[in-house]
Amino acid sequence: MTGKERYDNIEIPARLSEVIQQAQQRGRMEKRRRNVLRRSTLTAACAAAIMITVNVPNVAMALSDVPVIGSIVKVLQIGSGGQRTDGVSVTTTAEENTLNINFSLNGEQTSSAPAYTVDYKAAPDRLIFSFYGVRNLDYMKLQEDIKGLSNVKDVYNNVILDDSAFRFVVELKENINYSVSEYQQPGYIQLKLFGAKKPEQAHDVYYVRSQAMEQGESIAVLDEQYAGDDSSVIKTKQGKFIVAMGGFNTREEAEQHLQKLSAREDYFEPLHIDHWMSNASPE
Amino acid sequence: MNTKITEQEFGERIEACKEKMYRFAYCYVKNEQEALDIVSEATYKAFLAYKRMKNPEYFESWMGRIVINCALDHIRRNKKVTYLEDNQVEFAAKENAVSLEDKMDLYDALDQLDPEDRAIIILKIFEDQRFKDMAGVLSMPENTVKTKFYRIIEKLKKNLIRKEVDAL
Repeated sequence: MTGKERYDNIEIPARLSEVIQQAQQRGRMEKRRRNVLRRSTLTAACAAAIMITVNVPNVAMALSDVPVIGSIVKVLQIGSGGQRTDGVSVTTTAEENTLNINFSLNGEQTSSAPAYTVDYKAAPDRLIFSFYGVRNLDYMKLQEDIKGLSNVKDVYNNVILDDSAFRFVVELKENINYSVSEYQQPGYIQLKLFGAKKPEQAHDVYYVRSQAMEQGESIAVLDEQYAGDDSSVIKTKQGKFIVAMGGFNTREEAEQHLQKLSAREDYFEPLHIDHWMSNASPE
Repeated sequence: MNTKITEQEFGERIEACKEKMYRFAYCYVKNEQEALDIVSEATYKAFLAYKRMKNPEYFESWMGRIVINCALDHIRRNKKVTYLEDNQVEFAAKENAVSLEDKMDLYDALDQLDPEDRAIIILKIFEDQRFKDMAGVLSMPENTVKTKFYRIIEKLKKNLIRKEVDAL
């Protein structure tokens, strides 16, 4: 038998597929861990700006009029929390301007919330919720509950490249403030919306953005590519979606950012500068 | 135009080339568990990096490069290397044979090659790849691949002659 024949006859172990599946799962977990870490870092970087531009509600405001079940873990506006889980089901309940996001596993409420992040983005004002390690979610019910809140303008999901994670965006009406509270025993997350004390004047905001696309994996890939650049997916007035970075005060700042991105090796999707009012959606 | 592959496509492509990855890894370590460890590590690294892949149409070449790197890392960590120059093992020579492949079992000879050189023999002799395609996998110019290949073959021939003379 020649060397080539011996090479061709190397026995393939039956567990090769299983080993490959496990390696992909390990990669998936690592990506998720990096995402949470990156978002935590971004949170720290953004904290100072948020302190100035947003009226941070106090804990008393977050808890007022709320019959507290379970113990509070934290109250936040942007950040992350929860415990690593897998296969958690998500359900929602809503009343007026309070949304409860509940979690269960094998029919029982979980003692803590699954790993999650909350981001705030302006122009338009949006809250971006991401939950990791969740599989079953009644999105129609969630959408219906959130749209039923009187301070919400729109709600839509973002496709992300992780089938055990879920992300949705809550677009707020003008001059609305909010708080997010995480509870344990049982684990749930509560979103409260209320009027801002100091209404902000609408102003022009500059972005580096992609072309408008249909919801799908293409936009998810692009968003993931620029996740380190603080990108987000925004719904346009026409109901399509764009990836946008910035919220710059001037066109020059946006151009500088675009120049930096276009010099990168992995720059392949043409991006351009656009601007719209801080209380509006892009075209 | 977005040419990047999705997670599902990544899974399908890995599945399609898994046997080739395993054989490649096995040639480096000649041990099932170690070969599976290399394939596992290569898949994990590829999973973390596939979105940055510039040319998804060359997925198999790209994967081949990752398997080679993981195999080299594995060998370095375990330091189970015997170089040709130090080799005391005689290759099985056949009488009246003309080509090197006929005279020598290159599958065994791999163990005596510098780990960096093994991929060249695997790709050329066992995988029947063209020098141009090998250059893609090995990330080196085509001419360099050719030069290295003929240098390795010469080295093996000289070694075979030396062993035959020593055996007289």
